[in-house]
Amino acid sequence: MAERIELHYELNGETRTVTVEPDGVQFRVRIGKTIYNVTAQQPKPGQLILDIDARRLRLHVARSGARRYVTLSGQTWRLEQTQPERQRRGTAAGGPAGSGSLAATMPGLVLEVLVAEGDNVKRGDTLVVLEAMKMELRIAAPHDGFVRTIHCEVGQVVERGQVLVGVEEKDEVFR
Amino acid sequence: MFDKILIANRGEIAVRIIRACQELGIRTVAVYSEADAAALYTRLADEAVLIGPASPTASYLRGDQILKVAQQSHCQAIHPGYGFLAENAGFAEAVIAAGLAFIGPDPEAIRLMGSKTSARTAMQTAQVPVIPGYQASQADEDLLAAAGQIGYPVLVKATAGGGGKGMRSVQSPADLPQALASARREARNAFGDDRIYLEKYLENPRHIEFQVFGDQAGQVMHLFERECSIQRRHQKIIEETPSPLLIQNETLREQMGEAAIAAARAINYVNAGTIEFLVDAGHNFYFLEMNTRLQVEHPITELVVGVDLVKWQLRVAAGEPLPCRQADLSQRGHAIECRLYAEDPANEFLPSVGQIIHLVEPVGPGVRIDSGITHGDEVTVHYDPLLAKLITHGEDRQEAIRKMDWALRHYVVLGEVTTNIAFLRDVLGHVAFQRGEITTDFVEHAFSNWQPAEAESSDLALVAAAVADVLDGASRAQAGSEMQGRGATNDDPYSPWGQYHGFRLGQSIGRD
Repeated sequence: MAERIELHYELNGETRTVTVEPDGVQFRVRIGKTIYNVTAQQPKPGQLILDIDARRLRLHVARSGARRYVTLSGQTWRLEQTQPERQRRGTAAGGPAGSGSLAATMPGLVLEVLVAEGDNVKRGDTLVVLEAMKMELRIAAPHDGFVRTIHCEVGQVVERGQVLVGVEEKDEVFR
Repeated sequence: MFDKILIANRGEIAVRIIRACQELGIRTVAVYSEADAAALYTRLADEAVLIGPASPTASYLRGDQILKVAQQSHCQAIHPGYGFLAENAGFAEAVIAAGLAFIGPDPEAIRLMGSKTSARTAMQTAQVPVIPGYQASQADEDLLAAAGQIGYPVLVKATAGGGGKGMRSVQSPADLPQALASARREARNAFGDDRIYLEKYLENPRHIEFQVFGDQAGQVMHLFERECSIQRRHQKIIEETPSPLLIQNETLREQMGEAAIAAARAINYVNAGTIEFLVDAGHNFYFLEMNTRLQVEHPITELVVGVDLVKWQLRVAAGEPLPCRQADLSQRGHAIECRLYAEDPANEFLPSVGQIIHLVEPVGPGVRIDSGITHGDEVTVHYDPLLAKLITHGEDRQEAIRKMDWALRHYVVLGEVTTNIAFLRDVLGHVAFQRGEITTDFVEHAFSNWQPAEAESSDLALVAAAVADVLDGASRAQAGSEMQGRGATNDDPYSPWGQYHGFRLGQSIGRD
């Protein structure tokens, strides 16, 4: 392997480019303007020992599909191998997933849907109650408005990031 | 001694009970829901029987189903573990009526202590101090008046409750109505009973509980204390024994130990139980509740006192007397337990799910792990997020803490599922914890908006991932391919990646 390899990862919401160039038993790894000289050992699957910047680090690494998990002394990073020109998709994590859409912030079971389409709501009103691992979570209206759409029903199991309710602000002009 | 028993539970406690049975030569039957079909404990038991779909009400809470399985598989006893049916007096009665032994106390004791209000009354009769409170009426206006009498802040608690569920703290009269409604709803969902009572909210209390044990001959003893003040939202996170407070106050330990025995004797208690107390700033102790079952944190008592409490449970249930007397028991060294939860402390401790792709448990002297998970397990939304208990034992508290920090640093759980390992390390390293100056409010005050310290820059993760991918040859699939990382490299013995190939007989291949 004498060629330089370019890899791309999404980490903390950013796409980063990493260039790896084998150099004898070492790798020269470039991230942005920084170059690291690295030697690597793989004692067994899941374990990676890196000599980097005069430190020897014992990391654990795992992957599933495009996901990459790296940990060192309890600090864990989650990355996703990606293409450079791929559009970064919206985060699947919690909170508003788009204008006015409220998504589940954790996977769970819909216990109650307290509103109907067309209802007026005030900021802070509870719209949906989820349950997961015996905990209750209330999805509340982030602002005053009305319920445009309801995408879930009682008894449904939802995933994190799944849109549950659409709340829109009233258009002041068309009162 | 029993020949064969059924374990009416899942996860780490099922594993724990199976292990004790294996040591005693008792054959085991496990029950599992569809979500637990590949769980570790089902593979350790001698037999495993499917009892229903994932939801607890359709599986682990189906006492009738479980009893039938026990009868059909010729079990002589049922161990309920903790949670689920462990404190269900009706289930205990049904088991006994069917001619099987229930590995726990008598149903009357379960019923009495299961209602937190009748428990308080029984304790008052036994002259055990209780927290000032009110339980005479369920009517909102009565509760409002009583709360005013007790003095805010007050705690609304579920009569049928336990484990922190169905509790709400109330700072002022205006907040009481919503707290009542919310507590009632949670109690109805968790226990099928929405009755509530009030207790004075003690400021900065310490949670110190005593392990008690009774046998069928009427002998009752205590196995000293456990301090469980490291809690978040009334869920225990870290427990230890001896209590840092009682180390400095042997008189208080004796008084609390005597109160614990008095409490157990007053209800003719048999088998394992725990009397939970709150201790206020003035070192006054009050009965909080009694758990008529084995506790999650029992391992720390086992290490410091030198006993196997699950084996004691089996022996006492089989009619044997307690194997020693109170005077024979003493505490040696110090033990700490950290609960590993599938949650994301950096994201408001929300539960986390996903497959465990890579798992490395720390191994060393004085390090014990009671775990229900193994490589490849899928953590789901259906059950408690407790993954494993990490316990260390040292000659003194400092040594136990150092071992725990070492063990946490070497505990690797990788996958979409996140854990509270980094958070546990931060709690352990906090100066207040190091000094043993802990109260039940400590975590919420000292760690609100907690985020993990970034000791290493994210460049390290990028270097590691890139080097591992290059070594793996995955880069060959890079150009123009959507399916990153799949393909021939799965079988590459030189791949540095920890992975889960998902192949189990009788199961669909897991996701890559």
